[in-house]
Parts: sequence; structure tokens; C-alpha cells
Amino acid sequence: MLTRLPTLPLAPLLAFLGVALAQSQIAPNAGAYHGSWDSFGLQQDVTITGTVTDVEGDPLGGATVRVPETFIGTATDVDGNYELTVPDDATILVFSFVGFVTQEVAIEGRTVIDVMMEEDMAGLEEIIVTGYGTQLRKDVTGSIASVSAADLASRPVASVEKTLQGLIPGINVADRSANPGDLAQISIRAIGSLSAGYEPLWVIDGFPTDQRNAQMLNPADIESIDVLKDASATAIYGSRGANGVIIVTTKSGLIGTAQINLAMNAGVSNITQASRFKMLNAQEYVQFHTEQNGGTTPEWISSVWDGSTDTDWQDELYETAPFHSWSLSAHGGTEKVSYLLSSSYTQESGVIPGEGFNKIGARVKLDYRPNNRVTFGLNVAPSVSKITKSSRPSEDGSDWRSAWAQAILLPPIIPIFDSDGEYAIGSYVPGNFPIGNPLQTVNHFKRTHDLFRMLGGVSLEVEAFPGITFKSILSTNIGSNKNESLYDAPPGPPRFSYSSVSTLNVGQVWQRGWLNENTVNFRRQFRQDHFFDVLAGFTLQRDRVEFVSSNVAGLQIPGARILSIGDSETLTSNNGFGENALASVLGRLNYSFMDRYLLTATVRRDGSSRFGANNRYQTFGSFALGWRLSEEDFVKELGFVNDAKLRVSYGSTGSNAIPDFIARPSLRPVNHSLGAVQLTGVAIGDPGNPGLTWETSEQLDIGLDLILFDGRYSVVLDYYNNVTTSLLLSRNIVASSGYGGFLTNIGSMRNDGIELSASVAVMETNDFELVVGGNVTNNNQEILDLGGDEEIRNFFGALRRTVGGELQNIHVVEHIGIVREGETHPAQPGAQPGTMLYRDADGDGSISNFLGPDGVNLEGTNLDYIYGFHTDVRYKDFELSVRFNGQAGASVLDLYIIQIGAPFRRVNLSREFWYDGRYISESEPGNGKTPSASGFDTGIGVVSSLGIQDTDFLRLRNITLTYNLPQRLLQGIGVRGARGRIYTSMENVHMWTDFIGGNPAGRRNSAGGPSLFGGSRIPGVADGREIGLTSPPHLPLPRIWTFGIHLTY
Amino acid sequence: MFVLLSSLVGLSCDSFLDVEPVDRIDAPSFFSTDQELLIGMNGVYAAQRSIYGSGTIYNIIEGRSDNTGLDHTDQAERVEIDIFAEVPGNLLLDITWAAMYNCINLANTVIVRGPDAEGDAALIARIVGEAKFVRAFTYYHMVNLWGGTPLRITPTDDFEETAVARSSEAEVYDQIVRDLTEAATVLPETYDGSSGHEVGRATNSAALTLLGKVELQRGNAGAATAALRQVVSRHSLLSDYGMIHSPGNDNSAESIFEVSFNPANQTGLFRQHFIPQSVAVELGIVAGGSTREILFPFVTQDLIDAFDDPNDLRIPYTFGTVEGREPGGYITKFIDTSAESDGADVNLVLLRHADVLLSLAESLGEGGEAYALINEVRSRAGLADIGPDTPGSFMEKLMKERRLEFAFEMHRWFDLVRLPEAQTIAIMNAQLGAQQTTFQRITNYNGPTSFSLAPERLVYPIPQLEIDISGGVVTQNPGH
Repeated sequence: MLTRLPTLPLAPLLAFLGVALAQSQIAPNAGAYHGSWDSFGLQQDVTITGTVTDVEGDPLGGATVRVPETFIGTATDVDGNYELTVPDDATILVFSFVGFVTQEVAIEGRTVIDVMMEEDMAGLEEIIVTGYGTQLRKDVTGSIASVSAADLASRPVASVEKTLQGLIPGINVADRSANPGDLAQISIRAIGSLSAGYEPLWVIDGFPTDQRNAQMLNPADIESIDVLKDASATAIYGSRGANGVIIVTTKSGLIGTAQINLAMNAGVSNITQASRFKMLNAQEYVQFHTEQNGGTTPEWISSVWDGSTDTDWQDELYETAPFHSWSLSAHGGTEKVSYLLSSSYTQESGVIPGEGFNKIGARVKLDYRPNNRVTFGLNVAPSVSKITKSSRPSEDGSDWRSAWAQAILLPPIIPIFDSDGEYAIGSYVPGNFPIGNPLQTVNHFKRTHDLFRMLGGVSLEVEAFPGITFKSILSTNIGSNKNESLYDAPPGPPRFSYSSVSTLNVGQVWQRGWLNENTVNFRRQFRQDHFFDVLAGFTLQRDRVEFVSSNVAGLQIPGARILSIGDSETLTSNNGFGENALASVLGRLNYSFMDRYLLTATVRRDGSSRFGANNRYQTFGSFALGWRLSEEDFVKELGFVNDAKLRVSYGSTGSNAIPDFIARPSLRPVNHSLGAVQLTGVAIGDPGNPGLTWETSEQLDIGLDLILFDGRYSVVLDYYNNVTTSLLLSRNIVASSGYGGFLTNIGSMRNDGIELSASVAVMETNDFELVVGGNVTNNNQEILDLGGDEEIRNFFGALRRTVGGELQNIHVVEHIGIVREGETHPAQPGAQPGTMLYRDADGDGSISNFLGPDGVNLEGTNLDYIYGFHTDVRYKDFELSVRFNGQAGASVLDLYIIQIGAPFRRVNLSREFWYDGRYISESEPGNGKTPSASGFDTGIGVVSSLGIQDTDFLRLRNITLTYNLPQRLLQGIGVRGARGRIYTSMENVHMWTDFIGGNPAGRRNSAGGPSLFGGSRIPGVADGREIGLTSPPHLPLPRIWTFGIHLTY
Repeated sequence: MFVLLSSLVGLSCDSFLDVEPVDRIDAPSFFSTDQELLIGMNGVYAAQRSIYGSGTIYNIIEGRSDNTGLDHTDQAERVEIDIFAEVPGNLLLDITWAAMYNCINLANTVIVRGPDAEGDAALIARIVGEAKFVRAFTYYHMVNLWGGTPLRITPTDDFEETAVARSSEAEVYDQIVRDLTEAATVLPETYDGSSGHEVGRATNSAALTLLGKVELQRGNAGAATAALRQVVSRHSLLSDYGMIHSPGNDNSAESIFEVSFNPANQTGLFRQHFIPQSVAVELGIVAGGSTREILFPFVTQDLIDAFDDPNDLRIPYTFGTVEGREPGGYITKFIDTSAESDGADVNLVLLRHADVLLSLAESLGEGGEAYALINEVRSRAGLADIGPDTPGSFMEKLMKERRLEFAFEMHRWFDLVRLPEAQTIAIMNAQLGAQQTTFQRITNYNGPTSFSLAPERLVYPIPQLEIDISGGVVTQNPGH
């Protein structure tokens, strides 16, 4: 077995050779080049002319006309005309055009050949980007779902990731945060790792990168998004393929066309009444605490409440936020040059004052063809964007001290301003937390993130011999983030959340990376029936991140963002560095026999600097078979099957999503002081592990593609079974070792499931079209092995990974109801009516807390179902598109509702959770679940199943109504040949859910103990997995109303 | 482009993948010189600061005693510790256990790697002595909180078999005494303050003082006397009690060893929640105070009553009371009015001259010399001398003096467990009963007001995580 990568000087040499060869063979007559694979002999030439049209007779510009197995070819002009000089022994011309069925036409001595091309209704000729190459849909053996530019246009959203929502089975795009500029959390075929990253790999125009770069894309530039889900598709990405791959391809200019696109959108977003947290009003708040106090209004209420104040803090905080965006692009091409030039601008405000996002981006994409065998490419896309926030720093903005958390925690019985005109705060209610006033918070916390990204590169592609193409790419990924966080202290004495000391943090992150890819591709048909498509190559990639960050306190000038005016004694600085390198060789064989039997074999060998010296290299690969049943006579005889394909694939991919350098034992620097002397010291860091290696995912996929009745029905069905082994896991080791955990490869887990997507064109006439489609994924998750341990505890033991269980199980005492009068419960002697009743799991006659014997694993956190469906209707020039998506089966332990927003506090409470169904008396016993105002048990109850919430929801995600401007209207205003549409769209129209409070897809981003609990995290116990817990409450997704116009000339 | 490509490919792939970190310190090669060892030792002090700067240590050591209390609406884990109802899974115990062993592991690294380091042999020996002192101090607290714990004296390097069984209490004490004895032979009496010799490092006096206290704790009065006699004349009492924990007054003449905090490190013993908001505003405390009706922790009435002489000069630097508030006592020690949030420039003095005086008095036992030592401490507090004729037994009088002198300084609980078991239990039962009676009167508390602590409760349960992960190698204390 190879333990080192072979060095491969071969490929660039070949590429170099290819250029030389290509140049030596350029024929003088432009547009047509002689020299076939078989012979370079002298031939007589024949010139053929003609016109290519669609079935309605409209000319097709940019269609390709070629003599197979040669370099002889050309493209049609804008009017669909072509002229091609061919050798007299040529017998066939091939006509192809994107979106149309490729035609082979026998020349039979003609010099004029007009061709009418049929639209590819079934999408079989659709080009699928497979990573380092493309394939036609009909030849694909892997599980790849695609989103076209047309799909993107049907839902105007600012960010690429959102376009995937509910459209493709197996991919979950969760809106973790409602704030502009924040990224959604994406997983493909569920989370298959316990502690390493689970985000899919993004590949943008060939560059493997991250989600933030995808966010910077202008949606109008995108030609297609291909989501690679199984090993057959992802194995070519080797050690980064296990979590799936999302390939984004931008538009390229077509030869013979020139198009200008202008899109403008404007709109507003707001948080609807229906989606808000339903909190108690003043009357209800007083009523609740009166009940809790045994029937008399507590003195602390009468001491502060004037009897009429009833502040709806959410109402006071949320605002209607405008946004607008425009995009202007041009793309087109001639024989020599094709281009895409694009620019876009987006400005979004958040529904919380001071929150916002804006982005300016551009793209220049040029392809220069000195002859029709050589292509030089340039693709550069710089962007700058700015995210502004009005809360304290935290990864996902879900801080307890954020304005919206304050808005739901503050009691309704206090006014916005006190009698002195000062902002009122939570502790105006005696015994309450000193919760800040949200309206003040947004004035004093200012954060900005200035992002710069530039993904760009050059490429050279040479078809050295017919069917043999060499390609080299050299790309760079450059980016920077400047983060600034200012707390501008209000004047006067400190008031709890508002210290009188201003603080400033300024940080700068630089990232730069480069990628070199060299591939050779061989495509050829032998003897009619055998088609080979072979790829080989090697790649090198290196990425580096550096940061420097400084903090200072005590700034004397309000609003100033100057470190040097702070108190120099408090100035602290920090820097850091990360780098990794990846070297790979890769190869792929696609073989099809009689267009009927398909085979794909893929191999990639990766070497990564992230892993221990002993385990740097690993080989990944896959093997897949396809059977196009529709080419068999017995299926053809059925008459209604346009395409039927059975696919089976098996293979292994990896995940290297761990921090750089973690395999090395390390010490951390720490500061200490003795007296007034500042000292440097070291602390125990990562224990390291030189044996650390990749997580490997073994994936089986069995799929069926069906297209029936002239493309009116299409179905894709997949079964998948992914087993991840050698899981990267911080193993529990005893705390007396001095370490919190030891990162190692142990254990395995499985995700298996079924994906189904279907679409039906219910009606298709000239004036009226109705298409209905949908998809659903059912995923089952099981931890198979934890390296000998039965379970791993997270979040102080409230979350547990258990062999046989899902990724995360919620471990609590089971709350089974409410104690009623006259009942006796042996395990809870003397329990009062209205208090919580628990299950005595071990039957010992007493109830322990969740860490004791009565703690049980209850709900799991796996999303059993994700689904989406949509309807598209067209009547004449009007189109209506409606999209839904949803999820089911996952639970969270809601620490907000059961620990912070709980009745033993004096914060405001959720009406739906604590008030509406509560036990009041034997005659008003409530829903049998909610305890009485005084019945919540702070000892056992705070980690009981009462706090578990289902996150199931169905969301009416988007409605878009489009009016396609009639050609005559545009001609009437003097714009010939233009197309245009105007549309209005509503995003997040409505959500049906039992989840109480905000956003069921919101998660804690880290399982560390929030500061209000007084706990800090135990090293190694918390792991940062973003599931299982929710806390603090997450802002509901705003409803966004958009009006837009799109013109194409 | 092709030139570039060829040169890239010319590199061997192995060297392409050799990416060296520049922002982290390589553990295996560190600790190889005296200077690196010194930096490692600074880290040991920082790790010790993490133990005593954490919000949980207060509950574990001081909150357990009869000096402070918590009400029943406070966080369950804290309340459990206050009323001796903690379970083996108590989070605060996990945190403290982990922080203490983290410190011990780094100290072990310095101790084991030190002899192989290159450089000034005397300096290396001194650094190893410092590490032994910190290790001994940590084990001294652990053995008093948990009884015998796993005795780890080498750095952890095998991550397959990490569990170590518990040693007996006597074995742990033997190791502590061995460490302190060895440390005392290499540690200097003072430091000159130059780089690498900063004032605040462990001294010979610190090792001997701790040795004396340890011997006293395990009942070897003679050995305690021998150790304390060596240091009793080296330090002096500050004339003003309030200066001991005043901001910036680090390593004073009275101080023998302290945990060093400063604002930049954002830790300190004083917490915002120690003091009521109204008082915080009055005193001009930048960080503000607590808005709770009942402070956590509050100063027990029992301690307030123990300060029976209103002229005791220590009172204003120990506690204050709010009129009309019940319980109304709050802690005034360790306050740094200019501190933002919890960062305070007040060191926690763990060993000081007053402790040497009172410990020596205790090891000597009743007699003229002992009373003279006690009276030295009392005189600074502005109190009259006591003697054999003063009411109460010698130990009662001595213990009361210790309680008042060292209130909230992490001594009271260890003093209590040094008493005969029945006495400790009686003291705690009475204090807890009184505390709960107060709650019944002022809040809707319905729990018990009489307590009968089992003797097993005088040590904490070993953290359940340690036992579970060890697969039973580590065993639980009886009664938990």
C-alpha cells in the first residue's frame, strides 16, 4: 500500500504538450480545424450551411454543430445560421444545444442542412456538474439533485443557501438566526459525525470553499447548483466529501449571444403578530403571581406596578425593516471570447434596530479561445459586505443580553422609562434579574463585521486530441474580516447590564488560500456502443488563516473607535494562526454500454496536514452501476416511459473537518501576575494524538429515476445507508488526569433513510400550466459504537449520546402530569395539588434529579422527516409559485422556557407554556401538564421532560406572483427583443407548529453553560454540537415582502 | 503558470504537508530549559488562580461552613452544598475537582521534567520546589474536602488507561508532608523582585507555614509546632486589619502566600452578587451589586452574632448589614470599588502571619505563650486580652478568634473539620436549622428546619463522572 503520494509531474507536462500540439495543428481556415484522431491525411473539403431552429421555428443562436471524433465544429449565430467546412468523408453532423435533445444528422451529400431541435422535456440532456467535470443527466449514476437558474428565479432571496430550502430531498437548510447576514445551518443526509464539522463542502466554480463565500454570490449569476449526496458523486472529493458537496456554477456566455440582465428588488420585513412570543400581559402577570402567592397580590408587585402599565416590549422593539437590491449583468460570446460581467448590491435592515447587512459584489468571467481547441479562462469575483449588529458579541447573536431576549424577559408591569426619564430595567421589579432595557441596549452595543472575499483564478483547457482535454487551474481564495465591537457606556453611574465603562474590541482576520488542479479528461465513443469518459488528475490546496485582536476598556470619548484612547492598563491583544495543506491524486471512469448500462468508478487519495504524522494519507473511492431500463425494449414497448434508470453505488468518503494542529500535543499561553508584575505562563492545552485520522463514511445508495408521459411525471427515489466509522471523538477521560478529553478515532454511527421527490405537470396548455411537486426524506439515526463506552454525556449530563440511540438524547426526569387533590404518590409524599408528578423510573419509592436513577433518555434530536412541496401555476402571462417546507421528529430541551423564563423567576412568562393550561383548582385543572402558578419544582423540575419541545413545523415559505411582460408591451416602449417580468413575493408567510417561542430551527450554538446559570463548562463535556438544546429564545423569522422587476435584453 | 506548477510539483508531498504551527507551544519539547520551566511554573500559579478565581470554589469551601448561607430559591447545586444534600453528580464539585487536578497535572509536569532541564541548577531546584508547594497546597484542600483522592504525582501521558485509584487519607498527607519538606529545603526566604525572582512566588516560609497547618490538621501538634516556630518571627501583623485585602496591597509584610489577581485577568474572589445594589451604589462600586432580595451568599446571623464586641475593628472589613432586610448581612472583604464586573485587584491571602500565630497557639495548647499569641491578633482588632479566666474552653476561644479573623478566607470549613466530629456536626446542625427557620418566616419555604447530618457528610462525594469514567477504579465515599 502506498504510504506516500506519488509525485506526479506528468499532468502539467501533458498539459504543456497539449498546448504545443494544439498550436501546431491550427488550420488557417478559421472556425474549422482538420485532423481527426484516425488520420491526418489530405482530404477534399465540403462546405455545409444551414439554420438551426426550435420546433416553433424560432432561431437558436449558439447551438453547436460538430463532426464527431474531430475538432471540426462551429456555433450558430444569433439568427441560428451556421457555415461549416467538413472533409468529404464526413458522414454525420451532431447538433447540440443546452436544454435541447442532441441530434445526429446524416450528411448524405447535402450542402444545406436545416435542423429543427426539440426541447428536452425530460431533462435528460441537462448538464450535471459532477466535480472536475460534467455529465449528462441520463448518464449519471450518483445521487445528484440540481437546482436551475429558473428555480432560483422563482423565489427571490438574497442568499444562495436559502434557494435550496425545501426544494431538494435530503438537504436541511435550517434558519438558525433571523438576523440579516447570518448563515443558515446546512446538513445533507443528516449529521453523520459526533464532533467533527458536518457542513457540506461548497465548490464554487471549481474552488472548494465554505458557506460564507457562497453567501457572497449574486444569485442572478448562478447557472446551476448541484447537490452531490452519495459516495458515487462525492468520492471525487475524497476526504471532504462525507458531508455531501454543493457545487455552484456561475453563468457563462454562450457563443453568438449577448444578453443584459437587470434585476431590482425592494421590500420590507417585519415580525408578524402571529409569529411573536406570546408573553403575559400585565393583568395576566399579576394574576399569575397572585395565584403563586396564595391568592393575594404580592407586595413586590404593588410596590412597583401602578395598576395600568402594560408594556408590550416586543411591540416596542421590533420595527419594519426595508431592504433593496439590484443586480446588473451582461453575458454573451463570440467564437473567440465569451464573458460574464456582473455587479450587484444588496442592503437589508433587520427587524431589530441597528441590525443590518449590505453587500456589493462583482464578477468578471472571461473565456478566450485563440482557436477552438484552447481556452484560457479568468474568473474573479470580489465582494465586500458589512454586517451590523446591536447586541453583544456571540457566535449566533443569541445572547441573553441581546435586545430581543430582553424584550421577552422584561415584565410587562414596568414602563419603558421611569419617572426620571431613565430607561427602566428588569430589577425595577424587586427580586428580578437586572435585565437591560432593549431600547437602551440597541443604542449602546454596536458591532460591525466588514467582510472582504475574493475567489478568483485562471484556467487553461486544451483539447490536445479529439476527446482528450487537459485542464489546469490556479485559483486563490482571499478574504478578510474586520470585526469591531463597541460598548458605548451610557453617562452616569453603572446600571446593572450597563457598566459605566466603555469597551472596544477590534479584530482582524486574514485568510488566504490557493488551489492548483491539473486534470486530463478522455471522452470517446468506440464502435457505437462503448462510451468512455476517463478523468485523472492531481491537486494541491493550501489555506491559511491569521487573526489579531485587541480589547480595551475605559474609553472616555463616546462613540470613538480608537484603541489608544482606552485605559492602557486594560489593553489586551491576541493573535492566532491556522494553516492546512491538502495534496491529492484523483481518477474517475465513466463507462456506458449501449447507452443502457452505466458504470462509474472513482478513486481519490488525499494527504492532509491536519492529521497525525502516522496517518496522513488515505484513499477513498466508490463504484456505481446504472441501468437505463428505458432503453430496454420491454420498457420502450410500454410507450409512456421516457426515462427509467436504476442506480446502485457504494463507496467511502472522509471528513477532515477538525481544527488545524489538533493532532499535536500543545500548551496554551496564559497570563499571570505576581504583585504588579505581568508574567507569561503556559497551561495544559490539547493532549494531541499522533494517531489521529479521518472519519470515514461508508455509503450505499440505491436509486430509481423515472420520467413518464413526455416528462409530465418525474420521480426520483433513493435509499441510502451511511455508516461513519473512526469517528473523531473527544473520549471521556477522568478529570483527575488534568485533561477534559482525548481526541481520538472511536466509534461509529449510521444514518439511513429514504428520499423521494416527485413532480407532476397536472395540466399543460398554451395558456395554462399547473405543476405540483414535492419531496420528503425520512432519516433514521443510530449510534453504533462509542469505542466501548455505553454513553457520553454532554451539557452536564442533560444530553447523552448512547449506543443504540440517536446522535443526542435528552436525559431528564420524566414529568407525567400534575398531582390532583386526594391522590397519594408514594414517591412524592405530601405533594400538593397542582405540583409536578414524576415517573419513579427505578421504582425505589423516591424521585431523584436527572443525574440520579430517575433520569431517563427520552426524546432524540434527529430530524426524522424533512419535506417540501410546491405548486407552480401559469395562466397566460401570470405565474404563481407557492412553496412549503417542514420538518418533524426532532426535540429540544428548552432551557429558556424551563430555567430562565420559568415561574420561580420574576421575568415575564410564556402564556402558552405556563399560563393557558395551568392547574388553578380542582374545578379548573388545566391541561393536566402545566403545573399551578406555585407548582413548578425548582429542584427536579428544571431538568425534566416538561422542558422538552417538539420542533415540528410546516412553513408556508414563499408565495411569488409574477407577470411576464408581453413582448409587444416592451416593443411598444421601444425595447426590441427584450423580455421582462415583474413580481411580488412574500417570504415566511405562515408557520404551523406546536413549538412555543420563536424559531424551532434555532439552536444553542454551544453547549457551554450560559452565564446566568452560574455554571461554566467542564472541559470535554461540552462539545459545541448545535442540537439538543435551545436557549436563549431565538427571534422568529420575519415576514419579507418583496416587489421586483427583472429585465433581459 | 507552468513554471510555477512544475516548481510546486517538484516539492515532495510530505514536505508540502509539513505545516508548522506558529501560534501554539509544542508540549513534548517544552520544559527543556530553566527559562521554559519558569514559564511552566508561572502557568502553575495561573492554574491555581483558576481554582480560587472560579465562582464555584466559594460555595465548595467557604459556603459549606457556618459563615454564609443560601436561600432555597437559589440554584439547586449551590443550595445542596450549603445544606449538605449534594449528590455525587453535583456540577460544582466536578468543576472544582477538574480545576484542582488541572493545576496538579501541570505542577507534576514541572516536577518531573525539571531535573532533566538545562540551565541554572539552583534555579531549577527552586522552581521544582515551588511546584511541590502548589501541589501540596492543592492536595491539602482536596484531602480535606474529599478524604483520600487519587494521588497523582506524575504528568498524565497515557490516555488509554487514565484512571488512578484513590489513596488513603494518610498516604495523601504523607505526600503533602514530603513535598513541603523538600520544598522548604530549596525555596528561598525572600525574592529580590528581579525577573524570574518575582515577589509572590512560594517561599520557604510558605512551605513551613503550610507544613505546620497540615500537621495540625492531621493531629501532629508537635510537628506543627516545630514547623511554625521556624516562621513565627519572620513576618508581622499589619497595623490596620483593613489593609490585608485592600486593592493593590499585594504581598504585604503580613502575607506569606497569596493567590494573585489583577483586573486584566478578570478574576477575583469578590463577586458582584456579594453585595446589595443599594450598597454598591453608595460605595461607588463600578461593577454594581446584586438586586436579589436575599443575597447569595448572605452572611449568617450566627457569624454576625459571633462578632460580639461592637468595637471589633475587623467588622467593617468583614461584613455589613442592611436595615430592614432579612437576612441582611453581606460580605465586605475583598471589595475593589474600581473593579469592572468581577475583575478585582485584590489578592486572596491564603497564608498570613495571623494564621501562623493562631496555629502555633493551637499546636502549643493552652498556656501563657498561646494566649500571648492570640492576644497579639486580638490587640490588632482593638480587643481586650483574653486568658485562662475568660469564659469558654481554650479551643472554643481559639476557634472563635480564628473564625472572626479569617472569615470568608477559606479557613473556616477546614477549622470546623479539625474539631471532634460530634462538635462539627452540632455546630452545623444548629446553624442550618436557624437558617431554614428564617426562610420559613420570611418566604414560602416549606422544607425542614432541623438537621441531623451524618458524619459521612463531612466529606464530599467523589464526582460521579470520575467514578463512571474510571469504570469503578475510583470508588465513592461511604454514605453518598
